[in-house]
Amino acid sequence: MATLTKAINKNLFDSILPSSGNPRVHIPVWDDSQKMFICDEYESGNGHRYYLGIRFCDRIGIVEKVGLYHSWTYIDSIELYAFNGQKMELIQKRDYDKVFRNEEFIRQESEQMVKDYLTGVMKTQRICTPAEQIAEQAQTLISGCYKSFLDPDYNTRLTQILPKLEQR
Amino acid sequence: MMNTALQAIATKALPALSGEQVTYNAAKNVFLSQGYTSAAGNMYYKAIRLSNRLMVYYDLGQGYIHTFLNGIKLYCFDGQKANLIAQKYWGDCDYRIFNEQFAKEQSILMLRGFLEGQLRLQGAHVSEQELSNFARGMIEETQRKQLA
Repeated sequence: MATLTKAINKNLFDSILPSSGNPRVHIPVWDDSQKMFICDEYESGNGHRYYLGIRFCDRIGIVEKVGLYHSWTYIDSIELYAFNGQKMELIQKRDYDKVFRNEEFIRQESEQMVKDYLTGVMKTQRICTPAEQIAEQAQTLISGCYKSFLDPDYNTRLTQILPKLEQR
Repeated sequence: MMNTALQAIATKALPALSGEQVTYNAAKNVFLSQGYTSAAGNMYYKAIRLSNRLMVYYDLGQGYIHTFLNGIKLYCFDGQKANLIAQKYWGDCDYRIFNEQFAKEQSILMLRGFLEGQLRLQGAHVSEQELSNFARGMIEETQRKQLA
C-alpha cells in the first residue's frame, strides 16, 4: 500500500513539476507570496516577461498586469471587475508607466479603486453614504481578495471565477 | 563541466533574461547574468541555479559593502517553455543581505506553497512531511554540482 501511495505521489509530482521537454498538467498557478493566481504569461522578443496576476473574492476580481524587466518587476495596470450575473464586468482600470510593483502600493490602489467605484455609484443613484462606510466596505472587499488559497477555510468554489477573469 | 542537457537549457531556454547573457561560475555553481549598473553605481544582476525540473532566479543588488537579495523567482517547465510559479521580493525597509541559507529556505517555502496549491486544485492529498521533503529535494537538486 505504501509503495502504491509512493508511486501515485511520484506521478502527481511529475505532472506538477515535469522535467524539461515534458508537458505540465494544466492547472492554474497559485503564488502564495503575492497572494494571486499567475496566468497568461508571455515573453517578448527582447526577453521581457509579462503575466497577469488574478485575485478575487465573492464580489470582485482584481487583475494585475505585471512586467519583468531585467531584475525589476513593474506594475503595468490594475483592473477591477464586478459580477453581473455569470459575467465579469470591468468597473475600474488604472494604467501605470515605469512604476515598480510593490505589495503595499497594489493594495492601496485596489482599495482606492473600489472606493471610487462605490462613490460613483452612490452619487449616480443620489444615495448619501458616509465616506467612512465606503472606506470600510472597500477595505473588507480587498481583504477578502487577499485571503490565501492555502488557508483551510478558503472557499475553493471561488476558483470557478478564474476562467471568467482569464477570458475577460 | 556542466551536465550537457542543463547546459543546453542554460544557453537556449532560460526565461526572462531581458536580453542579458549569462556565464557559469563553477566555484559557486551558479549562472550569473551580465547585470545593469544604476546611475548611483549599484549593480543589479541575476544568479540562476537550475535542474532539469526547476529554475531558481535570485535577483541581487551589489551595494558598496553588501550584496542584497532583492527577490527570488521560481520557474518550472511546460514542454519547452518555462512558467513562473512563484515570486517574492524584498527591499526598502524590508531589505535582506544575501545569505545562501536564507535564500535556500525561502526558495523551499515558495516551492512548497506552489506545490500545495497545485495539489489542492487537483483535490489531491500528500502528507505535510512528503510535501516538505519533495520541495527541499527539488531545491537541493538545483544546488548540486552538475558534473558530466
